[in-house]
Amino acid sequence: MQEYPKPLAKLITELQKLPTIGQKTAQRLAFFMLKLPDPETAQIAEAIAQVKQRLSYCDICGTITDTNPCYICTNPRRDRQVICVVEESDDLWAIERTNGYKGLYHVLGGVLSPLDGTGPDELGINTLFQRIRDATVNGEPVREVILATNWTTEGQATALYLTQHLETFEVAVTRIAYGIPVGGDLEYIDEVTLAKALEGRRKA
Amino acid sequence: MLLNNIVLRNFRNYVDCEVSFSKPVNLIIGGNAQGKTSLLEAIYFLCTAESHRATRDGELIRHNEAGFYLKGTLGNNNDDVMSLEATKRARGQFKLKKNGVLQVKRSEWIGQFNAVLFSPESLVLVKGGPAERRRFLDLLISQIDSIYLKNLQKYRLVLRQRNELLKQIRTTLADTSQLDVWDKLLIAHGTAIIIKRFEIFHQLKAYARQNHQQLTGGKESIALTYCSASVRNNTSMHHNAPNTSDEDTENLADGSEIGFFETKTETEIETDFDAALNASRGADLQRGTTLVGPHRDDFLIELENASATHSTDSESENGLEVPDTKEVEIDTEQSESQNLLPRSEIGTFREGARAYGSQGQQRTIALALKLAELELIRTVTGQDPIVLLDDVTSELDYKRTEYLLNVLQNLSAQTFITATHAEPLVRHLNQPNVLTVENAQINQVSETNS
Repeated sequence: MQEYPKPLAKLITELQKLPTIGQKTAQRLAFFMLKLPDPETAQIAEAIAQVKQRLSYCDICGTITDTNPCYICTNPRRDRQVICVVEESDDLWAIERTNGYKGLYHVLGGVLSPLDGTGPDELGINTLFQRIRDATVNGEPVREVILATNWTTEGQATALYLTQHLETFEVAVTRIAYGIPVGGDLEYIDEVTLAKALEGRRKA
Repeated sequence: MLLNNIVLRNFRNYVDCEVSFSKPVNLIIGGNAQGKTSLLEAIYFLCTAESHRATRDGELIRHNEAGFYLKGTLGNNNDDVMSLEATKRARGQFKLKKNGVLQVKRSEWIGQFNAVLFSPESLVLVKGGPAERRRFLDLLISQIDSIYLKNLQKYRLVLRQRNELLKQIRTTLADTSQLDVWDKLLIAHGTAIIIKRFEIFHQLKAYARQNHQQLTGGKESIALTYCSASVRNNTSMHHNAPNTSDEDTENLADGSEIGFFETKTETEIETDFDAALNASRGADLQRGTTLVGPHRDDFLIELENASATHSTDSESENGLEVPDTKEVEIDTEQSESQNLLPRSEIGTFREGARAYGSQGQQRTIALALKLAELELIRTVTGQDPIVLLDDVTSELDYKRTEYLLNVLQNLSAQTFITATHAEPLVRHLNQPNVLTVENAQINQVSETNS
């Protein structure tokens, strides 16, 4: 059996390292790329290379950024007294897309999970505490910390941990609400979510 | 819902077999190792997504085959039809499909139709360790309450995280404040589990007692007591004594007729569990595992009639708890409720007391528990579960078999009974559909031949 020419075989192998890409998809992508005009393949290759070269983590909030500190941390029109704590950078972008939040962020880079060997030291928890202390010293004390970790077991554990440790700071600590999605049909919502939504009901 | 049809492919010894069940009562006759139990197992698997006897899922796949396939078609009088399919590949997860649509969560699968299985393995309910009885309670409640299983799954995850953290703290002296967080989550999910178990257990024990009395012609009666190290027992003060050995239930129960827990409120349970966890933290850290919580609970089965077979001998010989030592453990000023019962006559079945009590008594208790499960499912869901009886004639004496069949006659439940011979069962059954199993082939037998 004649195998693929070496450069092609290499591309297929490399593509398979990506999530959700198996042997077949990798082959399809590789053959697709072969047919692309040269400048386009160069653009793809460059984009991949640059994403690692030009991006870094923001020293203040920990998000992925191409300037350090990031655009949000340096934006003077942002409310510097509110910090929203999220697990990952993509959560930050999810909240940004709402266009309804004008405060700052803090990206933890994960959640507490002893089974995965992730403790507070592996997350941006200490930098969050330091940030709050520094803000007070700089005369711009943080008023509120919004905990927007996911409603998974580990996300909850992380939120509880932060709540517990933020008690010593003079900040209001809030947790994002969860329950029925907008446009959600009660009939199709699972019992646990519905029960929580009932528990967390508000005056109409 | 009645099971109208089942297809088994490469399941146990079955190659490819399809059977229809035209009548509510099905008698499955065949010699040993022909595939009777496997047929019941397949039905049970479609109901619970787990086997009652396989320890590894791979055991269910026919030797040298890549995977198995099961399909059940259920229907009711209103022409509603539901198809359930389960597939398993040797190296892969189960795939469960309802009406052709893939179902991801087991918690959404369980409870679509319910089944109660009585088999020789049911004896472990009495003879086995606490884990067997917890499994029984958990599966029973999961079938009738979908939130319960979700809580249980969350609880188990939190427990694994907490146990891992305990080990990390022990070896690396990691931050113990992290433990508070997992404790809170453990208490939240654990309390939900305990409340539901209390509620169901309260009904279960009444049904079990009733059935047991009838099975024994009123000669014996049983008392069931839920034992929890995480909930303070108002009548004895053992809540903060964590078990010192795995799968052990010593020091947990007071054995009183009136369960201490029936009056507990959610807040009280939470407070108790919190206190118990705190009290046990030192021991937890030392052992690297969580020693209190619903994952360590059990229920105690006691025979109230002190007949000669189980008064003292076997128990004291084994150095196990006899009623006398138990009295010592009970806080005297709070033991009033114990006086309701002739304490000195109470014998106990315990994990370590397997030798104690006759095999027949244990089997009767197991059957009483299963019948209680049946009644509970009927009462809560308003529907008759499918009843699976595996080899009961070899398990029970004639009188008990007769009682069992009488109970079933009065239900409209669909029943599957396996036996090596049609007699004497067939005479007690109401127009059964008789099937024979031979070498994994199932054939319908016309009734007149039976």
